[in-house]
Amino acid sequence: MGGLLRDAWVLARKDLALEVRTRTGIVSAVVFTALVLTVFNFGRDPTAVAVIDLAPSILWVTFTFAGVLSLNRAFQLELENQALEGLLVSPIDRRSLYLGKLCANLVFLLLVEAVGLPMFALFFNVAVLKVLLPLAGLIVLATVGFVAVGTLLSALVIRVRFAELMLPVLLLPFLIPPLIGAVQVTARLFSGRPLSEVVGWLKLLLAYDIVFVSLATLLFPATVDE
Amino acid sequence: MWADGTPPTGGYAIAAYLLTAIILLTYSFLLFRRGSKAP
Amino acid sequence: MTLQSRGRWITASGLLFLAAVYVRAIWFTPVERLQGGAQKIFYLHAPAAWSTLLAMGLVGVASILYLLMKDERFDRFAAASAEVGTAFACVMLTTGPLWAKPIWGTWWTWDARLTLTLFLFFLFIGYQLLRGAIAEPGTRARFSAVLGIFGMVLVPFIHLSVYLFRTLHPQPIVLKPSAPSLPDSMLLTLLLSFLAFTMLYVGFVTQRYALGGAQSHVG
Repeated sequence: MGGLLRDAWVLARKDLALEVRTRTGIVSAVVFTALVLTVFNFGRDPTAVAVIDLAPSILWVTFTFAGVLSLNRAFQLELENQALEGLLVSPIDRRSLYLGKLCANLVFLLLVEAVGLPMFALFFNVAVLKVLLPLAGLIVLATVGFVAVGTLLSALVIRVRFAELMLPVLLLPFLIPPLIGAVQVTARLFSGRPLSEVVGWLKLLLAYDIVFVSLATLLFPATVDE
Repeated sequence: MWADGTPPTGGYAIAAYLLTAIILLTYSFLLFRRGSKAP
Repeated sequence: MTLQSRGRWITASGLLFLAAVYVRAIWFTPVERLQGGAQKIFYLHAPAAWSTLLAMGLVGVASILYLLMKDERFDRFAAASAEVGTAFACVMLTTGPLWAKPIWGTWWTWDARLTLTLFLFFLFIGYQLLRGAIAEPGTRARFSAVLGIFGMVLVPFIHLSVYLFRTLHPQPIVLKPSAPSLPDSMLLTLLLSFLAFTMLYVGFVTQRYALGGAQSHVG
């Protein structure tokens, strides 16, 4: 178990080091997030709907778009560098491959969200600081679920034509439980409701994360073995 | 309202029954045809 | 008799049986007081739901079995069940809104059943899209199996999420939906319909399975 995680971390660091060196990935994801937020702002009539009603949905749709973009990019990098073949030849446990990818994608997406959240708070004038801690916890919880399924599905579509289209098509049904939960909890946090009200959703998100990370770790070797 | 007080929603039922039959019959037909064409 | 012909017989019998259920449901089953004629849609909608969920569940089970035993017959079965499931999901997606409109006042309600059906439909479509996009049979079987298992595990989560959402946001109803305990004659109609739909599922899958393989001769 320890070896599994250690290998995973080594792989994750390799991927992240690559991202940091090139920097285009994170910059484009952040710019994209800003663009989506801007479109949402100009898409609504401020006199008709109070921003606080739409804010949770806007936040999570934005994160979802950015997430799908990041996932596509992650496996694109793999394809280009043909690093996957090299890794498969090595004696590394296949599950470490998945966990490593999961880690790298998770860190990347959390970084994008860390920059996106203040942007969102600024653009939509939402008092985020008051609920920052629970909100941050929620974002991590939801993002883990998203990245867990997304990373595995990326492996499924990588050798398929129109991979960039296939990934969202396959992924979106799987995002419904975490998205509904995330939006509901966010809405309650922004309205100042007590945390006790959202415990049910948080439990659902946690269960989702545990189930799908385990399942994906278990099944990932089937996607790379010949 | 019908005389016995039930609401006149029968039209929806007719549509549903018809469409269901169409879907299932179409699929059955497609399967039968593909089966005949297979070597 | 080949598997193909056997499947055809089952399907034909299922269709005939369904026709009988139609007759019974329309003319020989009482009209429900509060919902009127539209309540009869229930005799199609619920069994279709059963067939759809059965199809998805069996896709998942067959996928697990394929990954464990690498027997390509499980893969063939999963592919067949997914296609058949799509057909039944279509039935649900047409009967659902047609039932929702008179009862709830809108064509679409994000209630647990309709939402789950919609996503089951997307899952079936996604599954078949993936299959269509992979040419090599071994890879296709493996990847489909992984997706199939994921899909099956997702179903309870979707149900839970929508249920949790609905209990906090109850919907206004125009007409009260039927109470859980049905009078005997209605219950019988419902059970007969379940039987018809199950027969159709078996018949369809048998035919589709037979189509999916080079050999279809069963001793």
